[in-house]
Amino acid sequence: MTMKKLGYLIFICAFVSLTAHFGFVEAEPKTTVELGKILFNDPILSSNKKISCASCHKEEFAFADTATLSLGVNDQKGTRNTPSSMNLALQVSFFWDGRAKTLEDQALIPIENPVEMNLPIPVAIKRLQANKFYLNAFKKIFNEEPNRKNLAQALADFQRTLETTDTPFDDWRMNDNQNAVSESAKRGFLLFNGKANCVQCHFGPDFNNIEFRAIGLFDGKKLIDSGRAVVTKKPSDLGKFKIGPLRNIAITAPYMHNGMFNTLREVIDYYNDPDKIVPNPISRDSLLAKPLNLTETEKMDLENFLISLTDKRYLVKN
Amino acid sequence: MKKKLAFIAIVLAICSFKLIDEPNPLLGKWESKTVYKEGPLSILLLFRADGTYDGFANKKTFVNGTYHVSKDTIFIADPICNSKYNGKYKLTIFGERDSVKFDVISDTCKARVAGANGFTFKRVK
Ligand code: HEC
Ligand code: HEC
Repeated sequence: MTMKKLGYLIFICAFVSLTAHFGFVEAEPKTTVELGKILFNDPILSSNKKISCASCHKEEFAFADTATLSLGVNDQKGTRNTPSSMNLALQVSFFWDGRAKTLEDQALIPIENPVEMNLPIPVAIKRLQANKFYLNAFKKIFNEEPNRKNLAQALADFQRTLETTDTPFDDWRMNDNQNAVSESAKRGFLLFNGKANCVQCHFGPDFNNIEFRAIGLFDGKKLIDSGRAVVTKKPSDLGKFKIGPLRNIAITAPYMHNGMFNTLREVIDYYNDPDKIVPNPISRDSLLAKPLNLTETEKMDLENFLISLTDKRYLVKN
Repeated sequence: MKKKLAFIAIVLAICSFKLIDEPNPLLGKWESKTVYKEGPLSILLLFRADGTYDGFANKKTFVNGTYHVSKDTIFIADPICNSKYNGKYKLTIFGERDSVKFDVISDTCKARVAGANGFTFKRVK
């Protein structure tokens, strides 16, 4: 090998390792939130290194999924629809059955879930400790190596920042900006609070209160997810689910714990006359005992109100 | 004739008295800052001249309804509790009329009592 050739090789090697170091490496995170964001998007937390939280909680759909059932490692499917992981800071329970009480408790469960990321937490921690980038980042931010607690905290802290308040609806209410929403959406808000009864369950900053209720999507035959009862083992909780938060709902289809409705219109048609769609539910809430008898215009008004809960960052894009 | 005039005068007096006596002291925005789940929580109330109000938690609308004020009492209703039932709270306005405290007189809606009774709000300038 000539001197020239050797020099050339060294140059290429140096260039490759330089780009590997500076070109492709994530900017160093300085806070738990920044670290959490990187972890949320990193498939390192799944057994086959192909699935990250963001595979199912997609930012462009308000951190929800458009699939009825999301695919985990090796294309496995769970049994429930992926909810939005935005607007969780004020929530008091997580998952459709509320089995996690804090975002920290919640964060480690999908990593270990065999049909989601399928990675035992001790293995996940070892991987992070063996990874220079994460080892440094955790040491800088937490003053310690990656562990169960700080991993959960980073993911939770990141998700707590995903609050959306910049909606036409809030603009109308907060600033009395009468042009922020259509007349139809305004009528829809009145229906939501009145004739359609929605507000009896969907209230609070994210339009879900802290309860679990049964809207009739459990019949023990075709619809077999018993919801809250799985956690509490109480017969009175059969078919009860966490009340769905409604912010950004227009872009998080499909709907309900099992993703059985593809559009908001289908949801509204269901509430209008539940028996038509699920005839023999087990313990459906008495609020849904009678058909609402909504007119065509009223259904559209309700839908337009729900659309007005979409954050402006998503309204611009779509 | 005299009697009629006197009557009109009294009516006028009462009316104008009402107009002067009861400018709504709550009109506008009021805020209470607390901590919830280790994070800051701002509760903002907006009282409008048309007798409606909204409440916001960290800028998110979380309740809306109707109200009216009579002397130092506010009558307040919302569709979550029951839009036809008024909870009754005593208003204490203090400082440079820039602080208000709500104390329950009567209210069957437990959630509203929990969220309002004893709370102090500062006027948003
Ligand atoms: C394979 C798809 C998938 C992956 C990967 C995934 N999730 Fe989820 N996520 C779901 C589904 C499905 C649910 C609802 C499950 C249930 O209710 O039982 C859910 C629920 C949640 C919730 C509860 C939201 C609420 O309103 O109650 C949060 C928060 C969340 N996931 C965060 C995460 C984080 C953080 C990660 C990564 C560590 C992650 N998810 C990975 C599919 C996924
Ligand atoms: C009895 C309480 C109750 C009433 C009344 C009610 N809801 Fe719901 N809502 C729920 C529950 C519980 C869920 C979740 C159910 C499930 O997944 O099985 C839900 C889910 C939803 C969802 C889907 C959320 C998601 O992320 O998939 C929408 C949209 C919705 N409701 C809108 C409405 C509208 C509009 C009305 C009025 C016409 C209404 N709801 C009335 C309790 C209620």
